[in-house]
Amino acid sequence: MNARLSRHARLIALGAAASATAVAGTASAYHDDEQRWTQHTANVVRPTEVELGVLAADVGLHPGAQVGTDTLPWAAGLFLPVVVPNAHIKVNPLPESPVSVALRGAIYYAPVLKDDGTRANVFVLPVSLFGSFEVTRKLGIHVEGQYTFLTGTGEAQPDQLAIAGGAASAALQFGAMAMVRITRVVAVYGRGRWQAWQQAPRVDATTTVDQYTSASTEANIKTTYADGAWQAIGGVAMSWASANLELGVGYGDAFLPGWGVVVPYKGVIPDANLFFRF
Amino acid sequence: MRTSSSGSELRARLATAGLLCGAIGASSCMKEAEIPDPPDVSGLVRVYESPDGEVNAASVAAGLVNGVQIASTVAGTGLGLYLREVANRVHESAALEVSRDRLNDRLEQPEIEIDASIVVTRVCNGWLDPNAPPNAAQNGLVEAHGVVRNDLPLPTVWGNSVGRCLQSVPVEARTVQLFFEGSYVVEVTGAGEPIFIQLAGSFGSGQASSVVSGTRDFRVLPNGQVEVRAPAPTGGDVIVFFGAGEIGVRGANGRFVCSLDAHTCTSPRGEVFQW
Repeated sequence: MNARLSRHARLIALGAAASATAVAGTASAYHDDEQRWTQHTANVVRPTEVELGVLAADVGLHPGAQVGTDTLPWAAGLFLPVVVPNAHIKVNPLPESPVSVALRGAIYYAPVLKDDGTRANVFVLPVSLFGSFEVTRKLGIHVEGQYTFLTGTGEAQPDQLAIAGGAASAALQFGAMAMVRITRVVAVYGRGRWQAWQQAPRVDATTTVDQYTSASTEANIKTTYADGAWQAIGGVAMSWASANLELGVGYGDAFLPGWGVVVPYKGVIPDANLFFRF
Repeated sequence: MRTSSSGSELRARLATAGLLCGAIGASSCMKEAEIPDPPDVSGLVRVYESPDGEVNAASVAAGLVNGVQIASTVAGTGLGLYLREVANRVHESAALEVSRDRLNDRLEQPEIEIDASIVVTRVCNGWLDPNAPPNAAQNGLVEAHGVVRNDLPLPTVWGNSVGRCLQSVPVEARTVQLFFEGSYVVEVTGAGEPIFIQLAGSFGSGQASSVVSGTRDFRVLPNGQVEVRAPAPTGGDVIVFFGAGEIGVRGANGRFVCSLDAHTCTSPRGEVFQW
C-alpha cells in the first residue's frame, strides 16, 4: 500500500510540475476575494465552469451547485478488475458569503466479478456537511462532517460451496482545514481528519454445503484498525489561471478521498491533487 | 397485471426504504448482528475431567447398570458420531466465515476481528435410502448453532431436532437407524479430543428396543468408549465408562474396572470390592 501511494504521488507530482511550469506566472485564480478554493471546503465551482483533475471532475450548474464524478475510481479499471461508476453533487445556498455551508452527497457503485464466480455489488453512500469561514482576507477555516453508509450483496462459490449474502456498515468522520493565502498564487494549508465512530460491518450470508446441509451466518467484522483513525497533513496549494496544484505530506491513517472509508494503512500520507479549471 | 403492479410497487418501496436507511443510517436498518452466548456446560465438562464423587459399593450399585445401559445405547446408535458430524459442520462453516471475511490476502490485517453467529440446518437422511433426496417432512432435520468470537470458533454447539430426526449412521461397518428428538449441547475441543454431549429428549435406534429419554449428559472418547455421569449417593458425581473392551467407574479415588456378572470392581491397586 505504501509503495502504491508513493508511486501515485510521484506520478502526480511529475505531471503537476510539468503543468505548473507551463502556466506559471499567469493570473491568479482561487486565492483572491472573488474565487475560493473548492477542495475540502463549502465552496463550489462557479456556473458554467469546469474543474477537471486527477481526483475529480466537476461542473458548476448553478450559483452554489456543482455536480461531478471522482476520476480515480474510473481509472482503477486500468489496474484492477473493477471500475467504480460514481457521481456527486455539492450544494451551497450562500456561495458568496464569508460564512457558508454546503451539503455534498455522493454514490459509488462497485460491481465485482471474478473468474471463480464471485460476484458482488457494493454501494458507498457518503454525505458531507461543509462549513467554510473566511476569518480574515488571508485565513479561511473549513470544517466537515461526513456520514458514510456502505452496503453490498454478493455471492461466491469457493470449494464447491454456494455462498450468498449481504453486508452493511457506516462511519462518521470529521475534518478540518485551515488555509492561509500567502500570495495570489500560493496558499498553505493544514488539514486533519478523524473517524469518530464506525458501525462494525455486518455480513449476513447463507451457504449451501451439500443437498442436506445449509448454513446461515450473521457476522460483525470489527475493523479495529479504523477505530479512531486520524490523519494530519500539511502542504501548499497553488492556483494559477487554469491549473491548480495541491501538494502535501502528513502522517496517520489512510482515508479514501471522498469515500469516507479507512483503508488498513498507517504511516506517511502523501497528499496530492492537480486539477484544471476552464 | 395487478400482481405485476403490486410487485413493482413492493420493489419500489423496498428501494425507497433502502435509500432511506442509507441516508439516515436508521439503527433498525443495520443493527449489529446479535451474537448469542452458548449454553455454559463447562461445569459438567469439568466433572468428566475430574469427577468429585467417591467410587464405592454404593455409588457403583446406584450408577453402573443404568450408566452402562445409556452408554451402550449411545455407542450402538452412533448418536455421538452423528452429533460430532453436525458440530464439525458448524465449525467448518465458522472457519469458512473467518477466512472469507478476511477479504483477501493483500488486505489481511491482524486488526480485523470477526464475531459471528452460525446456524447449520441439516436434513436427516432417513432410514430407507441414505442417498435419497432430502425430505425434511418425513425424516426431520437438526438445527445446530455455533459462535465465532474474536476469530475463534467456540467449542460449544447447540440446537434441537425439528420433528423426529431419522438418520442412517455408519457404525463399525454397519448402518444404524438412529432416531433422535429433542435439544442438545455438544462441546468439541478438537480432533482426537473427547466430545461432550448433553441431551434433553429421546434417542435410540430402529433396530434395537433400547430407548433413552430425559435429560442426560455423556462423553464419547476418541477410542469409542462412552462415559456417563452418575450422581454418587455419598455426594458428587462418578463417571461410568463403557466400551473399548472394558466397563467401570471413575471417581475422586481412582478408576475402577467392574464386572456386571460378578458384581465386583477392581481398583487401580488391584483391590476388589463387591457391590
